[in-house]
Amino acid sequence: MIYFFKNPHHTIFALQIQRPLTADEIAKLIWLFGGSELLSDESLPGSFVGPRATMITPWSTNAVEITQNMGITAVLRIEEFTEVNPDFNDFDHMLLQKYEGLDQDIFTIHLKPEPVLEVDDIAAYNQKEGLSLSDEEVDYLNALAKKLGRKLTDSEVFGFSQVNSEHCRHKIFNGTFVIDGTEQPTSLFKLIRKTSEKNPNNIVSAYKDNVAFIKGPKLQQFAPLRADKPDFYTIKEFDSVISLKAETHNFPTTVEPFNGAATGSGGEIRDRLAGGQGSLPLAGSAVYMTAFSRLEENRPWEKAMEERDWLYQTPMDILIKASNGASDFGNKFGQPLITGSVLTFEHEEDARKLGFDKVIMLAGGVGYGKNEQSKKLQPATGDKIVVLGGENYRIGMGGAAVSSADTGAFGSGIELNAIQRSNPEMQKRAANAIRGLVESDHNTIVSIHDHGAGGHLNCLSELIESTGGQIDLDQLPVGDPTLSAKEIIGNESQERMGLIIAEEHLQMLKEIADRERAPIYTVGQVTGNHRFTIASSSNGSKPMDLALNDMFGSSPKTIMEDQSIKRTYRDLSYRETDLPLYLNQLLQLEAVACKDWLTNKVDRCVGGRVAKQQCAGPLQLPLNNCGVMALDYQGKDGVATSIGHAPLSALINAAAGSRNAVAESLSNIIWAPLNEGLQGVSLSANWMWPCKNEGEDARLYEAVKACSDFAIDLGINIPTGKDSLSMKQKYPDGEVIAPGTVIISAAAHCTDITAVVEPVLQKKRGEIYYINLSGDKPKLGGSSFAQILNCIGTDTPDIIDPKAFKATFNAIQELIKSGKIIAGHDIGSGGLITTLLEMCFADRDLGANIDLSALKEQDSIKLLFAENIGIVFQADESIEQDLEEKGIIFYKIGQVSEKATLEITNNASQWSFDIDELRDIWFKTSYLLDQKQSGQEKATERFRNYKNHVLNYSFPAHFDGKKPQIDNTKYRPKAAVIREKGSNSVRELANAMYLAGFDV
Amino acid sequence: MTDLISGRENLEDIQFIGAVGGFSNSDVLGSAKGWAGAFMYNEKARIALENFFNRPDTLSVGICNGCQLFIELGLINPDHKDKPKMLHNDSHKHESGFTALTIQKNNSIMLSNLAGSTLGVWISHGEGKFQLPYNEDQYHIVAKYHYDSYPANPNGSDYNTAMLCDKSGRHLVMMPHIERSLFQWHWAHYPSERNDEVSPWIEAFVNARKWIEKH
Repeated sequence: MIYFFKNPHHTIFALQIQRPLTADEIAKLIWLFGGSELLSDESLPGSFVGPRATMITPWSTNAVEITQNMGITAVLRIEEFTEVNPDFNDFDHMLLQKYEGLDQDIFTIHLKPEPVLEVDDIAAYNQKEGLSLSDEEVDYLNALAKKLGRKLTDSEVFGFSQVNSEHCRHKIFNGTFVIDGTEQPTSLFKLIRKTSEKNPNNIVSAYKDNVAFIKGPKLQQFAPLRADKPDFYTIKEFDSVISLKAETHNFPTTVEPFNGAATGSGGEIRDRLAGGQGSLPLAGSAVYMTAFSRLEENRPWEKAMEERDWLYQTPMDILIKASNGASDFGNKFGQPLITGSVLTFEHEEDARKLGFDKVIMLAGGVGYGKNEQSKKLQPATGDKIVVLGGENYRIGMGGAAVSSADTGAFGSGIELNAIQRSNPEMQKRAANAIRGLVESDHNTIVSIHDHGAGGHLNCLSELIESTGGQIDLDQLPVGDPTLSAKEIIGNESQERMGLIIAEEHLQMLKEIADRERAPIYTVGQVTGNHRFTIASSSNGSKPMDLALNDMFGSSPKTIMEDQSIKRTYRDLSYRETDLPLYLNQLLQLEAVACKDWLTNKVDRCVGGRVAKQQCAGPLQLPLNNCGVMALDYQGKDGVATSIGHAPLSALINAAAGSRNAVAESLSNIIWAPLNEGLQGVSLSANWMWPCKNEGEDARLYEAVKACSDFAIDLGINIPTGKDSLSMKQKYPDGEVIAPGTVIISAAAHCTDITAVVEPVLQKKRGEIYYINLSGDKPKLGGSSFAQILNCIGTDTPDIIDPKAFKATFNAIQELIKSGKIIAGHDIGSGGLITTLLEMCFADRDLGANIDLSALKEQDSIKLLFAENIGIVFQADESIEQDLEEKGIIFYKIGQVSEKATLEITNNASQWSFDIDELRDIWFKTSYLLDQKQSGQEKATERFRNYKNHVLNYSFPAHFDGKKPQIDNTKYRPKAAVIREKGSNSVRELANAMYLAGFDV
Repeated sequence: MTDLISGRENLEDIQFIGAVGGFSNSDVLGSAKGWAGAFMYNEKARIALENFFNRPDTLSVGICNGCQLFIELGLINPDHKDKPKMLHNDSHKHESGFTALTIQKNNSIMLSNLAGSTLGVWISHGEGKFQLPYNEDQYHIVAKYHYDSYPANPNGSDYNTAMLCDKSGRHLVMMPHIERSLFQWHWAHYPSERNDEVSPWIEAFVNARKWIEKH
């Protein structure tokens, strides 16, 4: 029966229970629902908006668990409904539905699970279900059915389409490229792989696992002695590996930004949980690329291309909701987000429309594991297959196949069905259970994979790929009783991990999982018969029974034939006298403008390991492009990470775009002292490309080859990456192609987390220097400056000499390690002038006097706005000799001043920029976006106050800065940390207590 | 929590407890609401906590979600008819930032010797607004945000409150994360002329230990 509670804000809580409530329970529920009254009615008239009837929400799962903890049993479901006007229609139809009256039937679903179907016509089934099978694959399946002498089941065809989708198999990256009639010697994947073959450096694991591992330092583990019962924290040493991973979730974020981005972040975190025999995530990163936001009228650069009739959401909504989703997941899971990037772009030329209408949402991150657990072990026959985490719902059916197509290509019903929903707290529970084993002296996990695209089908088949396994359909956890077998095994309900463990160790895992309240299901076992079988033990139905060879055996070689097309884009024309106007506009482009709207809502401290995040200086403005996490609480070793991309440069020259992307990530990570300097860096390359459009496959090949060659020349490797190769949005009246983009994520072992350089000039200390890392002349093609003129341009800067780049990188590293660099910043979006301004923004009464005449560039616009990769830093003059000795070309360009102006001279030209005024212009776009998330009032207050809330401290006079000295021979008083599922700050509090001399 | 509910842990040999930050039960039905429910309606957990608070030799600290828990349980101002409440931030969204606190003259065992200091600290919460129904002098406010306007005060708390403690000074609650602001490298901005192994916040925990050693 269903009870209705109503709170003072007109929210209705509908509670479904198997038996009548007692008076005592009603009192408890009234308290729980915040002083609601229990309505006596069995049905309520009026209009309401609430969750779709078929979907038990994660919210309900949590609420039901709360009632269980309060001693109320037999509650099935609790959902929230809001009373609305009858004509109200402004709600998210994907997650919610409108109810005319609430009654005892609102949770009743008149659907019976579909039985296992035998597929008569595979081609027609493929079409109807949107499985994206190619003609060869349909032929293969027809031949398979003939060979087996039976019809294939719906689960088998569906399962095959998922595990063999572009998303999962990377057919293009492994395919053959024929460009201008010439077959290219190697596949794209082999090009990337070559970087690790030539420069294995510190790689521990590459390509074959869910993450890449590189060698890390010896660390101290601060963890409870055991995880299956309460115990004291102890410190143990171990040899570490550092993990690096980046994933994109472009299709889901385009269609449903909040959940798309949230599950993108969540899925990527699960990858970093599933390295080797288990590994631990530390920090995340995020990149968003959309079409222009059109925040207000007076933005001329947004006018050149006509606004589209957006298929799903406006770019502005996507920016806000996607970043809300990614932030929410990390905030709740307890992972800080410490670096990221934004780019908005659209451009029309020669009747060809370019833009990120199909958006890019990249979630990346770093983490660590134990060296001794960094490789998966071989499962043995009889080992148990275990699923850890949430139940199955009708969520994300067929995401793997649909995401491999252009958005707009299917009916919106299929596309919406394919979006997943997030439940970060559930993932935290599963993660805690895995952490318990990773931190134990003997990790008994044999092998582990996350559930993502393709659901159980992909995860479980990967686990038993080399052995075979039998899954009991009845043991798979079902949250929605109407699911068919196909839906149970193929849905993409999130927050689940699959793992293999020997039977004798299962009990220990269960005890840890129970303590962490992580649902655990033993769903099958390893067979050794090289078949993947899913069968019901109760009714004998067998939705899936294929030999692994047959399931993975289709190998239609993908052949990409393309002609290279020489495209030229209109060149820029500009006047030096308009420089202040250009600057004003440039500082408002999302890519250049302040990102406070992103950083002010995303956790940047949880875990107590964050050593460097986005915000810097007394004004705490987001300027750091290098994030650093401490690897333990000792405050020395860490992992540094950064991001780079240059898709507009790549439009002019695909190869230069790749080199600029790599170089940008390096000019960002350079500010952390790195183990072995440049050679210690490893990269992830994530490729977003509009393949199968004329000329684009040729450009992709050129871009990948250049990326690979450049990394090899620099002496570094690319041990991980991903591709998303259908970057096009189809509209009823045409299409918009996303510029081919590679996003580089860099990671390295940082040897001193206290010595990371920030982009805040320091008063009364040191001179300002400039180094041009590109080695190229200043060029404006592909720059943000070009964007405000609605141009791409003809000439993009490039990296001329990898050897010189490497030498300079390592020379700067040495200066940082010897403490000689006081402040430093890369030159990226917005060019040199933006870099100089930003270095003055994060404090008050801070400016600089700059003379650029020595750079010998007459065209001041080029000099100031070109995005040639380079760096600006502050140091004392002793560095000049150090650099000269190494033959590195540098320019001393000026001094820091205590007046808030940036004075720039170039030959006869002179400008004086008011820092306070330009800081506000730079902040304005952030303010406009913030209005959409914090409301007009708070956004305005923030805009008014951010520059006046200067951090000024007053330290206690008695404070000496020394760590407490604890006499370990004496008794340590006992302290305890109380936590609940969802708690995420346990370790840092335990560590504070421990440091102060408690036993925790 | 599972250990307290099952009775496996009863806190009898513990002298200092910390309730930690996070999103217990994903903040469903209000921050820390479900967590508080697990204490209020579970005999073993409730008695363990009550006994702990009633013992004169104990200290507690509730940080962020833990602050919301102890406030929801009414443990800081047990004798007030209208109890303090934790509300949504005025911005109605999660707020993340590095701000500063000025420590008031206070009776907290952990923080009284830092009175008069202004120190940097992390905040990260969605429901951090202290609603304090009585006059300011009815509360033991331990720390305030260094500016009383948004965003330095991220949530719009009454009296600009960041930390509160009970009459005895033994039980302290706070929204900011001093435990994530313990080292120089934790601070998003630290005075450049200093070179410290720890930040002054460590003293809160050292003071707790010293007090317990005496009691």
